[in-house]
Amino acid sequence: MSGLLDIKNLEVGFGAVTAIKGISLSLYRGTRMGIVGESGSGKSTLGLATLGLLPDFARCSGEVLFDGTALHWDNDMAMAGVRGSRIGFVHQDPMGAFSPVHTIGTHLTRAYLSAHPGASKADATKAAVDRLDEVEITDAKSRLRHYPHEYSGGMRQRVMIAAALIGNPELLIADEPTTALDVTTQAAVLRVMNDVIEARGMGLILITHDLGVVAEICSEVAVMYHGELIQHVPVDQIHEKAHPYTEALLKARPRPGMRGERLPTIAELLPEGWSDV
Amino acid sequence: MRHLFLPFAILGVLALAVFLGPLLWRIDPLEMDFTAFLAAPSLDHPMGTDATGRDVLARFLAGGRLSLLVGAVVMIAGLVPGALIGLISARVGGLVDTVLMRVMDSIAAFPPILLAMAVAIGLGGGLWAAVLGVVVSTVPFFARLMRSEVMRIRSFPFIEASEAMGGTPWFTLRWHIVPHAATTMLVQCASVFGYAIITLAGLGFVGLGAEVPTPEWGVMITEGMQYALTGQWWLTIFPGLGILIAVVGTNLLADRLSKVLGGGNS
Amino acid sequence: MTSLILSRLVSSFIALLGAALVAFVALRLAPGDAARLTLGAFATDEAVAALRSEMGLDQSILTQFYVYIRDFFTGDWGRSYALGEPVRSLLGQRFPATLELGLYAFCMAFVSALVLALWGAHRKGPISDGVPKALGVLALGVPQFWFGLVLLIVGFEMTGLFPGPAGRLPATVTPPAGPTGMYTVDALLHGDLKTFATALHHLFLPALALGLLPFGFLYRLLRANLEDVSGAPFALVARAHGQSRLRVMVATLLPNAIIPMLTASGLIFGQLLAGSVLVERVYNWPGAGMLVTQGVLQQDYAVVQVFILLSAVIYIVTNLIVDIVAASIDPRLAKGGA
Repeated sequence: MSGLLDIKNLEVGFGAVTAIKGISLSLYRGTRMGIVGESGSGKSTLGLATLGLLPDFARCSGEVLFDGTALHWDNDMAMAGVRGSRIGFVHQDPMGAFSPVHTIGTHLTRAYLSAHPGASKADATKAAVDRLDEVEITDAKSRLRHYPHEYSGGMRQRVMIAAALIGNPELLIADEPTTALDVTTQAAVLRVMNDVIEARGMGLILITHDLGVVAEICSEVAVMYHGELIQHVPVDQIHEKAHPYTEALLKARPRPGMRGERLPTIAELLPEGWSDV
Repeated sequence: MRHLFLPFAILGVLALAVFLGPLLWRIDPLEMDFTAFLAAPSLDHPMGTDATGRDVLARFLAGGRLSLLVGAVVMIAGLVPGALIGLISARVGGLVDTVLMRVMDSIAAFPPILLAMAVAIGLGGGLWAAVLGVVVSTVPFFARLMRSEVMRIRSFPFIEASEAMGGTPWFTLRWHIVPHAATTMLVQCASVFGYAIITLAGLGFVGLGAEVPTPEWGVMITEGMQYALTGQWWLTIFPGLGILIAVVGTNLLADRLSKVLGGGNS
Repeated sequence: MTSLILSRLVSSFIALLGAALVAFVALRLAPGDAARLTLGAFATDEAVAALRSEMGLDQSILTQFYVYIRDFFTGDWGRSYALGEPVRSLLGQRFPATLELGLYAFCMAFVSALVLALWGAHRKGPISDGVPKALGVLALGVPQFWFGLVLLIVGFEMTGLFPGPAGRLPATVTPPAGPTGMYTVDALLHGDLKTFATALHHLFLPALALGLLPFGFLYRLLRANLEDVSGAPFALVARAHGQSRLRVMVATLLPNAIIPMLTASGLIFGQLLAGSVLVERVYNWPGAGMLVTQGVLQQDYAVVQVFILLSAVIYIVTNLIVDIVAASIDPRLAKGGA
């Protein structure tokens, strides 16, 4: 049976570098998958490739099926019909993800109108207010007129989630949604995201390097290393049958009681000869 | 380096032609051929002759030497005071900085060629008055750029490190600031070179540059203008192409240099 | 916002004084005689002596500067000795011709720069992006007066498609009367389509010659800005919201890329004014620029002096307006005041 999202043998290269080396992965409706890995492991590329948003010079091969239908990345109009209205996207940089010369309202209503072509401006504004309410932005109506720089980082990230939801997508791809935020704000944003995903029964792909976050929110975890998928298991089994790399990743996390000890690096933790992959 | 090939090729061919050309083409640019007035391009006169029978190719080559020379003179004469002003402004700061930059702003408020006209008129006209006018109009560009470069470089941590390790201000300047600013200034030099050539030609066209018998590209176009619409196109087309090639070559060089050297903020 | 306007006003005023000082110094660089300079080499000694006292050259340099500024800002711009008319009325008569030419040149430059930059950024092919890029480099290297001549050779002498260097209208056509002095506008106001078309026909080549440099400048600026902002995360996010590539380009990227272009308006006006000095002579265009060229050639510098200082004033005032407009478009500027 096919899932909500089926990635089949996806390969992505930039120039001489192969960023993703033949990954196959399925995500079922309502599943929340965390994709973890170090920087450069190809996890962000995987998210962008799914949406067909890689730069023009990227080479892609393989196939991604959404709801059983193959996505045609080189057809911009067809992809525009998928982006926003079937797959939502949250970017990692809450600062740069908003056009500084447009109001928050403009961002939201444009996102709404491209998912609902032909809808009225009033509908768009109403949807914008509702989505801001949903991500717990108070006084949403008057805040629509504000510019991005008048919002705090955590608020901007919640607005980005609201904008990703405004087209009613079935899947949300969140690319390091909390990396740029401080720890307390991170927790608040994650909670909001978790709540809306749960309430809507959406699928989620959470791209992160933080295994703790994955453990809290996700039901499955996929581990990437150097462009390859090395493990894909339910999140509660990650300790039981951990791949040597996953184990290394787990051990490299700071834990209570480690005060005074140096954190080990991945390379030290890997078994001999393994990193030649 | 591959990127620099095209501009270097353009400028190299032009420079070779105008500097070595006269060795092969031994006609005096002022010499009149009384058997050929306004002669169309032929084997005897590959670029034709003008109304007084002077050989356009010889004048073209002489004009090219003058243009390239002027470009180099303006570049150096604008760079030295401009870089100094920018450096002083950035290092001393305070009132000195404010006053110097206000003066530079005031100069830069004029369209460069009009300011050059004012200076040339003030000095009573002639080629070197015009050249000085062009020099004055380039100084603010060098000064502002140098100042912003020094400010930018000074904000880097390695400057603090150098000072913390006991580097004198002179040492920091000599070994850290100047080498970093040099790349940006080099790009600016290239574009000023082209700008000087085109501006001097413009001044020549309105009668403020070189004086009439001098073979200068702008003056040549002015002299040929009255014949442009009676069929003697070669009098205006060739010197104009000369300017075009020289300026496009240097602009391309500036573009590519800034790409190759990376960064910079201009 | 108010404090921004105030501080801009103050610095503009200082810049105006500075520009006046620069022009004052530049035109008095020569150890020679400013009265002689104004009157030219052929004036009689008595006339020079009379002008010396009229110009206050026997007074201290500070007084002279004060008088110079006072006269300039009160519109007492002296008189052209070759044309026997006050500079102010001369420039007043001729300026509409220059303004009209500049306006058309600017519109042609701006529209083509906009279209080509958007097209090239949208579709990065060798034709859609490569050709305009090469054009942009060429445009900055072509001497405007020479390009004007080439256009005449091709458009008039060889093909006869356009009128020759005959000014704004043929001698047989009566210029439309009134109010703006810009023939195309006045003809339209009078409903005279035939004169409008003729005036437009005469405008085309000189506007093209004048507009080439601003085109190159604007195109390169906009193209580079578009490239910069198209790499910004908000470009990616807008597409992730389901907006098409083209829509993101026009609705999101263009407004971000065009603000830095506003700041260049002062430069563009300067380029157009300076260019009119070079181009009008080629086309016998009876504008302020030609007045300046004639002034230089006849060593009748009264008009030239005023025109040069006016160009700086226009630059400074334009920048003042642009700063205020930019701050009202880009909310970040209003706060930082940067």
